[in-house]
Amino acid sequence: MLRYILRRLLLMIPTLFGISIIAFIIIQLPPGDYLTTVIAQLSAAGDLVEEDVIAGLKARYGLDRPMHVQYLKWMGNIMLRGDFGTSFEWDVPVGDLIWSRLGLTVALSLATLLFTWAVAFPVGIYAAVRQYSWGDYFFTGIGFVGLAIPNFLLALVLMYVAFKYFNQSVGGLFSPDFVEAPWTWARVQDMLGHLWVPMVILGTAGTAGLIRIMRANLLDELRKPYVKTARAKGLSELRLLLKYPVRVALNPFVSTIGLTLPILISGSAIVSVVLSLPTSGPLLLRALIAQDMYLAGSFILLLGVITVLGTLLSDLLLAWLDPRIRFDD
Amino acid sequence: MKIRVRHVPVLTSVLLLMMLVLAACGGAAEEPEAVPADTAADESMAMEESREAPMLAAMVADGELPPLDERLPKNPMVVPVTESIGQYGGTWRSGLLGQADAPWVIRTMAYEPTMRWKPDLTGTIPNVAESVTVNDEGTEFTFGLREGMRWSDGEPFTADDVLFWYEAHIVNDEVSPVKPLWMRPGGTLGEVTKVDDYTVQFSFGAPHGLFLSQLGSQRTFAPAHYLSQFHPDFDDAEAVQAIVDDMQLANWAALWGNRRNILNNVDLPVVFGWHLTQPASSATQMVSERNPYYWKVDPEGNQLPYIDKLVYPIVESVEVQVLKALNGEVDMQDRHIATPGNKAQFFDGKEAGDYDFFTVEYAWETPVSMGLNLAHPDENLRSIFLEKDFRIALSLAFDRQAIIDVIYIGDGEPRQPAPLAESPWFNEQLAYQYTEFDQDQANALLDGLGYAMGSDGVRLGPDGEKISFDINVIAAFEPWAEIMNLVAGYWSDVGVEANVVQLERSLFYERKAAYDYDMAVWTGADGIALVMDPRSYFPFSTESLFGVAWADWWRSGGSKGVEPPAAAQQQQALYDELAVTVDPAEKDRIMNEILDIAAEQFWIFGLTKYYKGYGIVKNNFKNVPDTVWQWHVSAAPAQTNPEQYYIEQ
Repeated sequence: MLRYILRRLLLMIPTLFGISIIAFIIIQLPPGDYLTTVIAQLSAAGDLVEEDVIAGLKARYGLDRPMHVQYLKWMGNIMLRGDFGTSFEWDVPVGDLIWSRLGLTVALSLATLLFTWAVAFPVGIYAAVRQYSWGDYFFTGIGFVGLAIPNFLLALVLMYVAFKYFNQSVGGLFSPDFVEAPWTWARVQDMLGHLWVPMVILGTAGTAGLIRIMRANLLDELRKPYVKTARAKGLSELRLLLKYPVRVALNPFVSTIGLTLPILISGSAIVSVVLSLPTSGPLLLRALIAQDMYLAGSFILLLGVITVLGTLLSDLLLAWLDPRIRFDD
Repeated sequence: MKIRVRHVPVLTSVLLLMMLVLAACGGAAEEPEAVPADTAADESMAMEESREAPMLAAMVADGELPPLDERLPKNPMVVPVTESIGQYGGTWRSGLLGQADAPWVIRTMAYEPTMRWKPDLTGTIPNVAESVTVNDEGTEFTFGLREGMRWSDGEPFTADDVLFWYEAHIVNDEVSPVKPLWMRPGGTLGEVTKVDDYTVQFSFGAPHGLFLSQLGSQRTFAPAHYLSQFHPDFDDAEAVQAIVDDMQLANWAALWGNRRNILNNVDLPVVFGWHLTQPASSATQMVSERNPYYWKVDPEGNQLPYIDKLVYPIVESVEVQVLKALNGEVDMQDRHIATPGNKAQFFDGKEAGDYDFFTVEYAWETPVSMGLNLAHPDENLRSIFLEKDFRIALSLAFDRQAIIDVIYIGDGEPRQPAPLAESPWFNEQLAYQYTEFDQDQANALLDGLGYAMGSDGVRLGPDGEKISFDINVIAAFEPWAEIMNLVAGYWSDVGVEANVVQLERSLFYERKAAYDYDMAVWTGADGIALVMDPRSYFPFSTESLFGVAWADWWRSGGSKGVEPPAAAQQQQALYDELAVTVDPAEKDRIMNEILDIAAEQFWIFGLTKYYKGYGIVKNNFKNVPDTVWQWHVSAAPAQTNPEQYYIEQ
């Protein structure tokens, strides 16, 4: 087992190198570079960018050097000094920028994940056990609606409702009075008052999907002979259900952890943009649009690391959960 | 923040205490004969005594801040108020769309250039400079600075700060590899010399007719006492490198840019009405608070600004900002939110949000100018585009009023890109020629050029192929794609095929820079103070849609781009002359000559005059003029002096 983990960890190194190179190339693929974006932005409705400003910026950002030189410089600084470079657009070190947004992003994502599981888990079991009942149809209906409505649309609607009927300050995770306030109980309450909107929005789609998966998997398991055997042996219905078929049906939950981790970090960009949440999603989106190389590159590299780690983690969890897929040592 | 206490605090407090005691005694003595007139006099006395914000007066009383007289320059700049003398206090809430929305910050708190544009945009007046004198040749500009003026950290502002800006920033080849055009009339970089502590002289090798206008958007000074520690020419190079490494920056030029960033560096001393206390990179909001050393006063001598604090929440989408405004969480703003499409919504929410509108007049010529690439690399298209009759035919062939009615709900007036009626250079021919809708004449002109109609209803060019071109638009600012689709529909009536192609913004700029486009659409430029950006009248810059290649040729001295035709070269020569002309009457004559040639050549055409814009202002937010010019050069609405806006308590 230990050798297996070690081998997987070693394999991560070339994978991550590959990811960093591809990320760097993809960011540079669109026409122009960060300066073109700056010029286009400044030229908005009449501003004229003088040559002297452009020349100054070019020298400052080192954009006149070839791509592989830029890549090696970036990678070298990461390897040797843990320095991810400075964001062009924000003028602060990339590391600081990502860290400053990570806390709220993880909080929001964890809350969403727990919400999703808390809803999807019991509802999925119920829908499978009481297949084709009124309740099953009801939750299936809700699930399909949740899957079908795009998140950003739901965000806009909920935002309008919050504004129109609750007179709540929209956007962000805090009311204006609490934005700058130190962490107090009142501020936490204020945050919770805002947090439910993105949590529900982000949760609905995920919930719907997981309910369907849980239901389908459990239905497969319920028909298997071992369930009948157990029942014939007189095991109580609840204990039977939770001890065997549910445990098997849990596999998809665990294998999605690998994919959930990067989402924890990247947030859901579009919803966060619509709701103006200070999470990392809008930051990544803006960095990509502005071709803010080092920020976008570091972000994608970070997501790569986390995805690879997450996959490893979910493989290990699966093995622990399901003896059938344990590896030969 | 570092505050220099120049007096012994004890002495100040003793003086203050004595004044208080005296005031109290006086009040007690007069008590028996208390009549209304006296109370009024007392109140005005109190007003006169306290010519500063209560929060600053409290700091002075605590000895944290020197008294007002020591903070103000000898001759503070007196700012007229729009309606009334204001009250101190309050917070101005607006919003930034993303962290990089620097223009709104400059437009609200940071428009303090050396000279500043007047509210009617007809010229510039001294701002940070107290006075300016120009020699007869227009080569030497002597600026008097304000004696006793201070940076926001309390350090004196002197001629050395101007000199430092020149030596550290302009002369240095690492931060300014290319010197700004406005510092080198005739090609060579001008010189800055210190005459005395409060006088500096800018001298140029050639007369500089545009200098005072151009200074209306430039800050020709930098806080030497703070910034010299980040410059290897002024401080130990190793120490500077240590800071560069510590901040994980690429080089010292990056450090220099970083420390001069008014949006992110809270330590940077400024001359603005408010100084930064929470940077924009904090992700949730940017905050600025009043500068206790601000050097402007109202007509009664009260120190400005009136408003204590500016808060800019950072939102990621416009919709959030619109909802905030509807919710009454925005005190004054027009940028981003005040689109024609949102007006009905804002109108309905007036009472609930407790705000009203102010009118925004655009100082630009037109929201839609359509430039054919007259220097097209393809010989066939170029020969067609260069035919003036072809351009006239296209201009006549579409119904401007119908498009204005559909797109701008009738708010506009058929017009070409030309100076506005309010401009001293208004040119009727340039503004209105060929704006009538006359497809018969358009057809006649095209027939006259020999472009026979083909079998499928599209005319054939000189090479026997269909006349067909692409219209490049981007998806921002104006509904250009919709407008151009309508226009292209009219053009197909007269046998010219045009396809609207929507491009991503940076691709649009790449294409333009490579002269690789047929027709491009953008807004027009300055409609009033034309000399700043005459892009629509002759090939002036990369924004001159009809002649980017011609403009490059002129700007590079013939080494880049394409040589323009004689008429355009004549205009460029005239502008070169304008740049070194000082006499206002002579300047007018040259500008009018450029415009006459533009009218004759008909380089570019447009759709309409700008519609009237609007902005949102809370009912208790005062001194915002009813009508504000919208212009990027004067950082609108900054030309209306935001420091004299106030919030009724």
